[in-house]
Amino acid sequence: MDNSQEGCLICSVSEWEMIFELDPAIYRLSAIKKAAYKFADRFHIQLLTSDSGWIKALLKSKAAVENSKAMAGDFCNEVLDQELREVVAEDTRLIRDLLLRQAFSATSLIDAFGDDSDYHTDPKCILRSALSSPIRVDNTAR
Amino acid sequence: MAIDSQPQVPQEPVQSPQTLFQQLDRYKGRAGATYSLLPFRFLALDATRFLLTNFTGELLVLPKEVVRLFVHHRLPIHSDIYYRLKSRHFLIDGDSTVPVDLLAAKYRTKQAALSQFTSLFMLVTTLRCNQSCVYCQVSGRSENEHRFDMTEPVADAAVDFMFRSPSSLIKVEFQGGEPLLHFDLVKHIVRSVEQRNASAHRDIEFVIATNLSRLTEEVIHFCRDHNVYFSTSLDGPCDLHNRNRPSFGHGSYKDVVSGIRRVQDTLGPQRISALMTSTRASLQRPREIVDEYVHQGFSSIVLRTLHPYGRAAVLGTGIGYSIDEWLQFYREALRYILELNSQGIVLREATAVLLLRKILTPWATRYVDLQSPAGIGIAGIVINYDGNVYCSDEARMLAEMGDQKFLMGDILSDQYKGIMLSEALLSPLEETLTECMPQCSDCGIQPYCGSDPVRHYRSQGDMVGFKPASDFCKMHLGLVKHLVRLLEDEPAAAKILRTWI
Repeated sequence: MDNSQEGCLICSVSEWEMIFELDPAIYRLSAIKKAAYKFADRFHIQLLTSDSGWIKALLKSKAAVENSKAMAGDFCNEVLDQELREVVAEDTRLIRDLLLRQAFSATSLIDAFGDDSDYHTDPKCILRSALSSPIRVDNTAR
Repeated sequence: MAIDSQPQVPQEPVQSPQTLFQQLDRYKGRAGATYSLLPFRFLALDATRFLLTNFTGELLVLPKEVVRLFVHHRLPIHSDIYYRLKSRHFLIDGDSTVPVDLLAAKYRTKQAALSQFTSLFMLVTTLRCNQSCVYCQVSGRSENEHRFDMTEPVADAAVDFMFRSPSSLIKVEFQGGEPLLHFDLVKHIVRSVEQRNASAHRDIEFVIATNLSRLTEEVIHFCRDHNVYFSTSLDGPCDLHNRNRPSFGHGSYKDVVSGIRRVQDTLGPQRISALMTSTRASLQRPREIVDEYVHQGFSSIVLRTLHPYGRAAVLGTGIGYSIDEWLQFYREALRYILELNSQGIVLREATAVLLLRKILTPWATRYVDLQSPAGIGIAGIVINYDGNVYCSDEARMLAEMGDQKFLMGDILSDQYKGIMLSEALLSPLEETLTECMPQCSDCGIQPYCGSDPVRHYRSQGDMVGFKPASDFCKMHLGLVKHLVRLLEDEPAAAKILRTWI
C-alpha cells in the first residue's frame, strides 16, 4: 500500500479495521505500544506476534473511519516518531539521571573539588598562577 | 589544566600562523566533531516540523528531517542549526561539563517553587449567593440559608493553618457563594491574618472573588485600608453576561460594571481583575467580549472554558461545546487582542501570559493547574465553610456534588501534619507526575503543562486519565501549539507576545 514505510507494512485498511505488520528489528515493542496507545481513543487494539516474527497490530475502529488510508499513514508516522523518542530516551538515559542527581544534590557531582572548595584557599592555584605568570592556554591538556 | 605556572617569554618577535597555531586536523577530535544528545522531548507541530523542548523547557522548532539527522548523530557540525541546538542545550560536545551544570541549575530553578509549598489559601466564607449562574460550579445556596456560612472558630483555625505553611507568601482568596454576603467574617479573617503577621513577617495578599452586587462604601473603605484586591466575573456584553449570570429579578451586568468602575475610580485600576467563562453563546462573539473588557478599562482578560462541575455538569448539553470549538473561539479572540495591541491598546490574555512565561523564561509559575507534581494542596488549598479541607477548588466542587474523594481533613479536628499527609493528597500527587504518566512523559510540551488529577477523576473516573481522550490534554496542546506557531511564523504577533511576559 502507498502509505507503508520501511518496516511498517499496511496489510489491510477499511473503514472499520486496519492491520499492520512491523519489523521488530526497526521498531521496538515499546514504540509500537506507545503509538497504539495514542490511537486507543478511536480503536480497540490488539498486538500479536506473526509467524514471521514481525509484530502484527490490529486496530478495530470504534466508529466508521472516513479517511482510513490517511489514518493508516498517520499510524505509521506515529510509530516512526515513537521509535525516535525511544532512541533519544536510550541515548540520554545516563545524562538525564546525572542531571537530576546534580540538580538536587547538596554536593556537586560533576566537579565537587572545584565547586565546593573554599575559594579563599585557591584550590586550583588560579590566583597564584595569575600573579606569578602570564596565563597561557594549554591545548595539550585536553 | 589550562594554567601554566612558568613564565612564557616569546623567543621570536614574529611568527607565522602555522607556527603560532595548531593545524586544523588537531581540533577534529575535539568539540564539534562528535556530539552527544542531551535529554529532550518533541511532538509534531504540523506536517513538516517538530516542536522540541529540552530538559528545562528551552524551545526549538525544526524540520522533521533535521531532527531525525540530529538524533542519529548525522547533523552537520558548525551549521546554524547545530549551534542553535548547542546554545539551547539540546546537545553537548567537546569535554566541557558546563552545559550539564547549567541545565541542572536551570532545572533546580524551575522546581524551586516546590520548596515554598502552599501559598494560596481559598476560604469559602459562605455558600450563599444572590445570583444563579448557568454554569455555577458550586451550586450556591439562597441568601437566607445562613447555615452555609463559615463560623469564626473555623476561620480562626484556618488562619492558624495558613501560618503553618513554610511559604514566604500567603495569599488569601475569599470565595463563595458570594463572600460579600458574609463580609463581617471576611473582615475578621483579614484582621486576624494581619495580627498574626505582625510577628510572622510573611508577604500577605488578600483577594475577594465577588460578583460586586453588594459592593458598599464600607466594603470599599475596608478593602482600601487593608489592601484587598477584587476579582470578578465579566462574561461579555450586557445580554451575554445577563444570560450567563442572571440575578434574581434582573440581570447582573449593571451591578458588575458599576462595581468595576467604583473600584477602579476609588482604589485604582490595578486593584480589580476579571475573568470570563465561555458558554456556547460566547463562542460566536469573541470580538464583542474583548471589546467589553477594553471598554471597562481592563488591561488583562482571562478566557476560560467551562468546568465539568455543578450546574455546568447537569446542564452541560445546553451550554457546552467541544474543546475544538473552544480553541477556535480562543484563537479568534487572541487574534483580535493582538490586533488591538498593534493599534496601541494594551490588553493581555492571562492564559497566554502564563504559558509564555513557561515557554520563554527560566522561572516557575505558581499556577495550580499547570504544575508537576500537581499544584493541588501543595500550591493551593481550599478550606470550606464547614471546615472541610480540600486539595483544590475543583475538589470542593466535586464534594458539593457528593463525592468526597479529595477531602483532606477537618480544620477543627485534624492537625496540619495529618491534613497535609492525607492519602487524599499524597496519592494523586504520587500517581500523576507528568514525568511518569503515559503519553505525558514523552510529550513535547511536558515542561509547559501540568497535572490535573481532580479534573481527570471527574471526567474520566481516573486520576491519571486516558490522555488520548482527555479534554485537558487537548486544550493545552492546542494552546501551546498555537502560541508556538505565532512565535515562530508571525513576527509581528511574536513581538507583541514577547512584551506580555
